Amino acid sequence: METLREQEGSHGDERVPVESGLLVGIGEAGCRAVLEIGRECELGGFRKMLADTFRGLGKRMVQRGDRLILDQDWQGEFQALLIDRELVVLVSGLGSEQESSALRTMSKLVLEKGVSCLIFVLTPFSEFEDERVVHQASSTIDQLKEQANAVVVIPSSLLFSSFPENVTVMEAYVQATSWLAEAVSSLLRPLVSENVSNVSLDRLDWLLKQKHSTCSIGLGWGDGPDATDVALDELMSCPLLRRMPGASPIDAGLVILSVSTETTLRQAQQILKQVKGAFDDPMVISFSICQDETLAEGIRITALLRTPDVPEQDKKPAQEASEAMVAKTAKKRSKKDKNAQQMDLPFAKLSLGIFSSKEPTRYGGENLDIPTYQRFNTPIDLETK
Amino acid sequence: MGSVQESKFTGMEIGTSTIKVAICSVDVHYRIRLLGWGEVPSIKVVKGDVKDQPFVSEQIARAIEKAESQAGVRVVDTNVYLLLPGGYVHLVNTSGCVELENEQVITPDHLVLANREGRYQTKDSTSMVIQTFTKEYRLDEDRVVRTPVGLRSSILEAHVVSIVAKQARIDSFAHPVIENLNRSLNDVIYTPLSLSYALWQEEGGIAYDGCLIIDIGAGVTSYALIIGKDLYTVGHITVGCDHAANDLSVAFALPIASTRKILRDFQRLNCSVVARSDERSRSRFISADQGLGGGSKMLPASSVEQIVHLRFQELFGIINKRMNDEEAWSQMTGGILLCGGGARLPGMCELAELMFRHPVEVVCAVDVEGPRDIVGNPANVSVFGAIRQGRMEQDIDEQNYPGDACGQIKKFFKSLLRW
Repeated sequence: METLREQEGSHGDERVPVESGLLVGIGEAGCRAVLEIGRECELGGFRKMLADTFRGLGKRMVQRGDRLILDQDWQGEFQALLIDRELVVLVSGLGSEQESSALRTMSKLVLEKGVSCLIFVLTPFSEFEDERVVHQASSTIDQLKEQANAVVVIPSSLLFSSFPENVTVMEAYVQATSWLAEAVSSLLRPLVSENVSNVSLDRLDWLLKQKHSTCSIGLGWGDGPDATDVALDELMSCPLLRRMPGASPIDAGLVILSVSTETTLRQAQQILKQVKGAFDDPMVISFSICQDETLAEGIRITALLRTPDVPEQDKKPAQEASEAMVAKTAKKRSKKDKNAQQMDLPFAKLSLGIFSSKEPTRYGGENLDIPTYQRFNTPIDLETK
Repeated sequence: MGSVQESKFTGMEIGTSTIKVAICSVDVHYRIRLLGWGEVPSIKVVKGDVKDQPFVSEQIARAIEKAESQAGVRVVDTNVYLLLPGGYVHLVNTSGCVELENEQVITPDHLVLANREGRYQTKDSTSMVIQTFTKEYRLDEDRVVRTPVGLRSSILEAHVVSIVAKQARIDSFAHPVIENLNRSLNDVIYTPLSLSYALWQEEGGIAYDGCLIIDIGAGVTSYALIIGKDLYTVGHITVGCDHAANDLSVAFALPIASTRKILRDFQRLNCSVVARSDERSRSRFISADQGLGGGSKMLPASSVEQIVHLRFQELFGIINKRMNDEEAWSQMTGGILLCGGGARLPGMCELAELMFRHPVEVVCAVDVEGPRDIVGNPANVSVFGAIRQGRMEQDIDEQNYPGDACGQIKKFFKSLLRW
């Protein structure tokens, strides 16, 4: 494995894995995610660093991992950390300017060093966070796309609709951070696996080489006799794969299947066939398979899907159409507030009606119990007399 | 023929909208004669799953009583088959291979072996295989055939689809029926499978070869692609007319009973599942009063149509995608057949034609004798299908199945399933 090269160490016959990867958690969300990854799995081959910008939290974290203090000299220290690295993974929330600034600087330094850089960011909750913070996060993502091989965005807003109604704000943050950690570890674990695996940096590079694109990551896990079906269902219903209205189509993807070490070649072939069948033909998907000793009978599917940015010249007609729609909506809104409210708020609470307490019917990442017109955001004239 | 000449069978369906009990006699040619019919609202069933067992048990007792009083026959004295709508059923695709020395001629025994090899083995005692069917056979050089008997090949691979469910869920679903009968059922039948049997006729076999049949129920939509006497693909989605009613209920803040009634009255209200944009030019509004104490509301007809249209468009879109995934469209030689309560909605055929680009028609069970309003109702297709399938299963058990090659295969295969 490229990422887990072993060399004869200085301690006689003892073989020491080279830490050719660097995993850096930035800010509160990033540090919490990296700590959670450390608790869940070994992730050998990666050196873990915590660049916390949150003063109180830092004291607790310093005991558990390497800490990078973001003082005046931190850039030199960070550059030293980049020596002999093949991949740098930066994990961060985008809730504060300090986090965004550190992230931009780090990715720039990694780029200058010529090392592959993968960034995972957790966007703020547009439902209850300051509009300025949301806007700043969006602007930071645009800048990062210029500097990194890929930016994997974990949109908190898409997770919002999957939360139960009585979730507290703190729980929402914790859950979002857990998603961030799960997304990072699901992608990195196959890369550093010591078992049979055809997941390599080459494959990742193939996906990430195109700039001006955003990646979304979906996760699915299943066990039992129909593990593949269950994992696929979970993947399809993963809130992280939900598409924002007007998003560009996916143009490439990497799907990693993690199977148990007991899986036979024939079974692996069947699983691969089944999973391939679940993806649309036009998409250029690379499928990889690796064995994971932590899985008994289960299967884990990690899908990293790339969406190219819409070129500027194509943006204009889309923007005009969007503006025309906004104008039309505004006109209707002046007539009837109720309807306009429904059309303007894509994250308005979705209603389940008689199905609210029932096991949801899920398909392709959608909860089909939610009225179709609400999920499709279709404007409907609901005025009654 | 064996001992069974004209036996009594009961088909039961615990649907999301109604509970149906049909007591019938079935002759050796699989012609069904309806003797007694009981139908009551199910009320406490959601998306095909029983939510209140004691209540549903009482409703089943009422339906049984109605059917028995008409038929003059006790249900308990008949062969009873219960439809399983499939909310907790999943399909497993497996394959079994037999190597044939010197490119032997394939015999029914080889098919039995290949199917036995391919049959899905549940890994624990909590799951069970309810039924299976063979999707297709593969021979040398990737030749795909449906009836390989008589052909030569060095390899025979059977692609078997197993319908698997958790034993506890089936027990729980069937419990209210067993409680009423005070005896076990003859079998449970996965609803999509029953659809093909409803169209089976002695002369000419399946009446609609190469057709995709879609049963749009209140809580569950089932479908099956029928090829000859077999199936190529089956499935279900726990979405039905109740979802359309719920969408209307949410949109216009109306009680679900009112919006269900709107759907039932779609024809009278001159509404269609295919939405017609009218910019409110249609003067007709729908009254949502319905005498249910929810007050009176006038709803724009075009909006009602639009909401219902989106729901069924999405439903057909899912079936379309699944058919694509299964590479099933290439197997279709016929059209689309609609049945179930949803098939009666005006415009449903038109919408299906728009979505699938195949000719569409509404069907009812074939070769069934009885009151027109029952046997000619597309909502009752699956119940009669279950009865015919029950009779066929019994014939196979008693080795009375007509002696064609396919029948022999089924006989052998069925006996294997019984092990």
